[in-house]
Amino acid sequence: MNNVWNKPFICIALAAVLCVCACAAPASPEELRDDSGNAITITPPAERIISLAPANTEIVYALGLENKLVGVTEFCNYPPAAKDKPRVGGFSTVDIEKAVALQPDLVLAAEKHNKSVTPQLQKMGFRVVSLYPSSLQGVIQDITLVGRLCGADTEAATLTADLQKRIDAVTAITGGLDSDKRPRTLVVIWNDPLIVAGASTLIGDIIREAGGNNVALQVSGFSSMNLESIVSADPQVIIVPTSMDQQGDPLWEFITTDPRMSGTSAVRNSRLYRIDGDMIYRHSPRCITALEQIASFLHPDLFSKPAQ
Amino acid sequence: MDTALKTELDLHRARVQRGKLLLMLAALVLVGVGLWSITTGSTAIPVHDILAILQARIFAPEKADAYSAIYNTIICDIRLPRIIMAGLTGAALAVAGAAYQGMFRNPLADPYLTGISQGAALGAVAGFLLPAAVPAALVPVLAFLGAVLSVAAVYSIARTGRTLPVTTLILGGVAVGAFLASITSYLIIVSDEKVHGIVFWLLGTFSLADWWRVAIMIPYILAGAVVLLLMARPLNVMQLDEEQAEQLGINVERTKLIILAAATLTTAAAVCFCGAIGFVGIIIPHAVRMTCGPDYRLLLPISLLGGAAFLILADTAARTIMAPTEIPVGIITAIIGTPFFLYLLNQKKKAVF
Repeated sequence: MNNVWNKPFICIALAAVLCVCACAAPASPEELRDDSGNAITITPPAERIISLAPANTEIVYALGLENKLVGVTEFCNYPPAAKDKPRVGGFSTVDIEKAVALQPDLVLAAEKHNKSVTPQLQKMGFRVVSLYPSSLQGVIQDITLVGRLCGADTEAATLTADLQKRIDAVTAITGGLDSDKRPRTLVVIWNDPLIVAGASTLIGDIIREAGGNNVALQVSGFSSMNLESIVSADPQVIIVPTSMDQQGDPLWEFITTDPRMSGTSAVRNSRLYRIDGDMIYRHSPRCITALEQIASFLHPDLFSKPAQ
Repeated sequence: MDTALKTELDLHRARVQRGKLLLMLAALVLVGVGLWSITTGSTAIPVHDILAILQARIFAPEKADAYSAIYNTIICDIRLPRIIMAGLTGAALAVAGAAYQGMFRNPLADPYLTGISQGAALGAVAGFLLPAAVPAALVPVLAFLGAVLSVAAVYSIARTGRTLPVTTLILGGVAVGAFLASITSYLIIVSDEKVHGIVFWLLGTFSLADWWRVAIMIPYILAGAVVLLLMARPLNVMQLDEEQAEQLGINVERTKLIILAAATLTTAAAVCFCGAIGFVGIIIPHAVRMTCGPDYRLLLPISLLGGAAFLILADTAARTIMAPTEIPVGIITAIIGTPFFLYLLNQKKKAVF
């Protein structure tokens, strides 16, 4: 008789509540988590930011928040203006005293700090958010997150929409490629010992989205790989990240001149490419440029060379 | 009287016979381990293909191209130099360790005691930190220099007048080693992003063994090993007491200097390419001593062969257990070496007490 569902008002109210829950749930402060799985609080918007990783610095600049950035690392070199910000130490060697003295209300950390700097700062009551996405979508989410933490949601929305459009432009072409059209690809990051980018790395995700088949999927993260396994996997494309401040490059020399690499398809067909390491290692907006470049390396017939 | 002499002679002949047998056995084990190792790897290659490639390479190089280029590369340019390098390193560390233990008359002595590994590590880490424009080949050179210089420093600290007391040599080695290790740690901490390779080097690895490295190692290790093998007799006499050895006509101080120099050269040549691989220099000589007896004429060559076989085994494990990833071989030598050593120690305790 008194069926609840017959009362339009209750139905509408319930629907509204559900709708609000559905939309607002991820936005409610208690629900948000960073890449280390720690819950984070959004309010109040950050005014004094310390970045403990070059990629985090790049994100802050890309969102136009550089005036709020009070501390960076010695390795933060992009954009060049970041070099003039106060330094709080190296990557893993953070000068805690200096960081505390800068009185940040938001510290953007990375995976490296999980066991040391992050808990230390958290114990002292600082808000630490760890960013280390392992996929392009994770990068987009982290940019959104930083925007939200700093009251720059609109800027973040504009930036991520633009980045997503560029990702879609690549995956629209590479998404449908059959596995035999995806060249066997290897990203080598060190030669002594040989260390490659394996599964669950941002680089691995970039290779996949760019239409390649990472031959190092058997190893996880950045891991050493047997020379024997590399030779027998016979990569068709080898990509070597380079550091801008490096003149001679022992890794590039090894790949191009070592007689044992000369039998691989990549070397025989001269499909060896260099890419700016800062672009491919860092989960910054620039990794989308890396995606476009690598897509053009892997499929020169499908992509014209992307604008720098 | 006659019968007693005859028994003595028979016993001596039996000992010589047994020594020859043990030497041949050790050589056979080494060859067997080497052959097994070349058929083992992350890539499965049929044994008959491997044998055919090796045979073609040795007897008819023009025929080798008939086989897959990848197999050729893996067998002849990746596995073979790696096995030889592991063998040379194992031989160098074990024979130098045996000689050191004899010279110091201390079962815990090995060449690392005089600061070789710490000196080599400091040199290598400094090499890693140099600007990349400096050729990578400089790393082993610096490691070698570091090793030799640290031993020279320890030697000049320990020398008292014209003698070289082993106690001051050990103490000097510990002090210099600790000092160098602290500088190395400092350099690693401040180097931050460049530490990839350093960790692997410090734990020891043969991952990039190739023919030119083998070619550079061979003369040092061969020369050093031959000199050490020639020291077997003086070492036997020195086991009594340094004073008695002098009276028996052994120039103890000169012997010590020769052993120090030869062991330093061999060890430095080994560690400068592949890092400080631990335990080989202590475990192998002891295992040999426990199974074959304390005569240095037997102990030194069998340690050499056994060390080579052991490190080839350990490196085969390092490159296959977690393939395609590599484990630093120093971790393997410690993990499989220590329990084996403890087992032998236990057997020995039972025999003595």
